[in-house]
Amino acid sequence: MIIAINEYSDVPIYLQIRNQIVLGISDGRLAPGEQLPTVRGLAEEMGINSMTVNKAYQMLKQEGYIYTDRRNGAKVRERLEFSNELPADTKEMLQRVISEAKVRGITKEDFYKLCEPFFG
Amino acid sequence: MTTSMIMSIIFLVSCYPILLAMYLILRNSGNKNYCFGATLKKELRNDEDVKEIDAEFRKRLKWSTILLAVIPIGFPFIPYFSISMSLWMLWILAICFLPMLWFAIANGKIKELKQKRGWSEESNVSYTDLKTASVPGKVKLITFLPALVLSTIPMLIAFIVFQGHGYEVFGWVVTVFGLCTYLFYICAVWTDRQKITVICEDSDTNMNYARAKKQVWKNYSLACAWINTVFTWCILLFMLQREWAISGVIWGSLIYCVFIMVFAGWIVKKIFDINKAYEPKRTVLDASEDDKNWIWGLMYYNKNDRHYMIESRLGTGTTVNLGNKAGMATMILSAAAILAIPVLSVWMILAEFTPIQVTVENDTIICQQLNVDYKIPLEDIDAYTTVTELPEMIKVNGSGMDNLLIGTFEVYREGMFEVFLNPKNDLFIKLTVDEQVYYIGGADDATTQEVLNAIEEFQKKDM
Repeated sequence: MIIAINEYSDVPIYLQIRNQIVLGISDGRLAPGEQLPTVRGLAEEMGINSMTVNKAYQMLKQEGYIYTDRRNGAKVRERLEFSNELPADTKEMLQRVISEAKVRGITKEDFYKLCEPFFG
Repeated sequence: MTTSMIMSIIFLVSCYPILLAMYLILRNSGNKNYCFGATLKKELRNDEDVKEIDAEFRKRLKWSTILLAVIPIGFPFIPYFSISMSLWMLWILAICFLPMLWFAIANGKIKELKQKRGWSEESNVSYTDLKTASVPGKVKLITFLPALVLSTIPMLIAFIVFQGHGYEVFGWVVTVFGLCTYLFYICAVWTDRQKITVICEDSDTNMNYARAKKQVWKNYSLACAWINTVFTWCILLFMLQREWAISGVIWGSLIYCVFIMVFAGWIVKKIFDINKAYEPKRTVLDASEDDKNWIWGLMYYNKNDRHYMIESRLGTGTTVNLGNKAGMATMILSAAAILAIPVLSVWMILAEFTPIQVTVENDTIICQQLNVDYKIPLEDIDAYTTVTELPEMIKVNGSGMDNLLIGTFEVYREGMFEVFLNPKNDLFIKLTVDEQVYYIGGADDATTQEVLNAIEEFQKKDM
């Protein structure tokens, strides 16, 4: 899976990494149980501070997308056990997107159609 | 054969291939993934203006290469060592920088064209493949350990054997060569850590591409480390058997250079083959539009990138990131070394053309030339003899030219002597002062004779 980092984006780099890994898990580019590079390895390859990668991994771990163990490093969770609820901040984000869509005149049906490819 | 001629032959053998290599590497720089170090979509390479820039660059490169190939033919026949050496050094600078100048001009034109035509799409997006980042480094200390240990042994021997009376210099020479093996190891680690370009969206392809490249770089560094180890041992043996030290070091250095260049050629071919094999798989991902991080398409400056070394946009090598502190330090050191060349040339010319002065003032022999200044009080002289034929000497430090020997020299089995003379003369004085032996001579034999008379007169008075 390829991660694209925009140095001049408003989104912090750790969040860009986190978002793209989540995206990779959701669209199947990252398979359950797939090994992720070590914090040091990924930081070296990206040419960024290892603290930044560590922050992204910690976030992913906290959110339940990945797990880490000392021997094998980080891996994508085999079974992602989430409740059928979105976290509050994601709900807020979704609300913002829907509001923007409504303002732009997109109907509910069209919005569902827009969402379809993302669900796969 | 004069010193100037010998040095010219060494330069000719070791530096002429650089000219050819520069030509071959730069000739195809318009056809690489980048066009003269600037990102340019493949379909735009056939644009008439781009073709014109490429043609102009090739023309300049061809003629400057022909000119630079012809110029040094006369150098071996220049009788003055300093002038011959200065011209060689300037020629080396020219073969390295003139083609780069044409490249930088072409880079500027491509960037200008991109702006004019609206082809620039600065994205500042860098791509990283998670699988590539998981590829373990190819360079392991254990692989390099035998070469490192075998290079350390001659350094230790040298420090034990060459002790006292100025012999430490020989120890340092061996150490410098021995440490180069460590340098090759450090370079191997750096190149192993450099980011490998993401060439397509298929992670397996990216991973194999990264593996292949890292393997080639590791093999090259390892080969160089072993060549250097062998050469360090040779240098130690030359230093121990000093009778053939000079010819040994000269021929050894030539063979060493040839080996390093052969391996450099090998790596260029290997990387070229890898790039060629993966060329059909390349996609747009390769060209992350970050031209503003590339100065003249040659130097990389990006403060947000922590890499010290990155893949060069020219040829198959690497370059340092000037936005990184270590990268900037490397560049400053390299620039200082380059700037030292003209300074050294001026110094050599001054040394060769400033006559040596030996006078006797206030019962003291004063030997003076540029920054060298010996003062020998006549009353301190324990013994003196005239010499008409100089013994075979090896320069330890100082100047050694056809008409000038100044500094510390070693006469095999006799010891370290301070020398201040013009070897083209026929008369010299050997002085012993507090167990230190001096060989001195004036600008001509008449001056030497005057000094000799002054010594004799003083000795008679003293008796």
